[in-house]
Amino acid sequence: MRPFGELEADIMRVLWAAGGKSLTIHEVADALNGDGRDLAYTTVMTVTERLRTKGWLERVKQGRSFRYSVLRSADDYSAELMEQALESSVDRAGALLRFAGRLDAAEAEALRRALAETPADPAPED
Amino acid sequence: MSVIVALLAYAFLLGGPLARRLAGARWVSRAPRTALRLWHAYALGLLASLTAALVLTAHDFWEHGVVWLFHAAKPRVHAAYGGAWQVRGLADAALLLLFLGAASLSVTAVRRSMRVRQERDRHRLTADAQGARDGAGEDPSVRVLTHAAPAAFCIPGGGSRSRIVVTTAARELLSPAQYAATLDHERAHLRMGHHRAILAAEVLTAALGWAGLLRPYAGQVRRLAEMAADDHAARKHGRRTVASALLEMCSVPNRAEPPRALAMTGPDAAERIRRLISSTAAATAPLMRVLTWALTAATIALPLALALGPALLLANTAHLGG
Repeated sequence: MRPFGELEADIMRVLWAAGGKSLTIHEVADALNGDGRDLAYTTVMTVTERLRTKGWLERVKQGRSFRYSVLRSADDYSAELMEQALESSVDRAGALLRFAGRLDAAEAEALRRALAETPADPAPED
Repeated sequence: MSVIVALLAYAFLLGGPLARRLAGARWVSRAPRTALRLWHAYALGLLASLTAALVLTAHDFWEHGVVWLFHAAKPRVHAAYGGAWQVRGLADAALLLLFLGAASLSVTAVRRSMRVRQERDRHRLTADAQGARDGAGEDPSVRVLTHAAPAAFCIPGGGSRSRIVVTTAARELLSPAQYAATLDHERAHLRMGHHRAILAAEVLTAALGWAGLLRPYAGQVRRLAEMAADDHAARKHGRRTVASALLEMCSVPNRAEPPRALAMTGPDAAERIRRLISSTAAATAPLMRVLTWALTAATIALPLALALGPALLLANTAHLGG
């Protein structure tokens, strides 16, 4: 079985795809099992509940069952992540390790010239 | 008494002039991993000497320990460590300071790591839910996120919980070789546990920075970690490839950047590119390696030797009595 972390991501995908609409656990499980998987209702319920306690989802009672919906849009989360990744917001906690920063145009041009004069790498050594 | 002065002097020497010197040294860019190790040794040596100085000041506590541990004669121990000026109040104050310091350091460490963990959990779920797996690569931890700005970064986490994230723009921008080198740079970060080193350095810098001690520590660990990861990627993909990948990623003109952020990261990226193309990766000479290891060990051992020296000289003197 795939780890729970993956299932959390799958459930978020289903609920984001539903737009602002709320879904019951049954509907979520059906959507997940549509692509040939066989997830137990209780598994989906456990993981969905965990997402709610983590603050990703909210639920309202309707009749005898709960309906779940997202609290924030997918764009909200990716915007926050990309802001930190691109350093337009300060990553105070240091949660990410980025590959590159930014160079100003003049410096980039000087480095580009220096790089052009550098001989090509020798063939890989393995 | 003189031991305490020596320990404090050593702590301020390490945290002040020696730290500034190491931060400005030119050899560190040739041997970033050695420099990283030395920085951690400085930090440990500093912590050890501050701790020892406080324990010695609280010398009631210390004397009992030495009498018990080394089976030494109490009056002689007292003569070796004690001084007439020492009053009980000072000893108690030092002990209190020691416990307060240890407590605040652990509180800072726990709070920071919890905050980082929460943030990483959120980022991981976002990347998993919105990113696609990298079809071409075999690495299951890579996620490709649809975004117009080129970016590559990693979200550290234990074992299979870590993720390497690249944007679609970065994949289009980089050649296959550059792309592979970028992924290996991120893998190197994860393998060498740089996120832990950075966290530890930040906790310590936050805890000691007010006293002007070890101020460059966190910044230098970040800088050297990037160089070490560059070197790792360059061993497999070539220095020029890594340099060109960096240059491509850095020089894309994009969104209005807050100028402060640019000033913070600009020089580092330029420095990394320069060192990649200007130097060939020379293996450290064996003698140099022995010397740097010895220096690293001595940095940590010195405060312990200072603190324990008098006690060791008195070992097995208990039977001589007063």
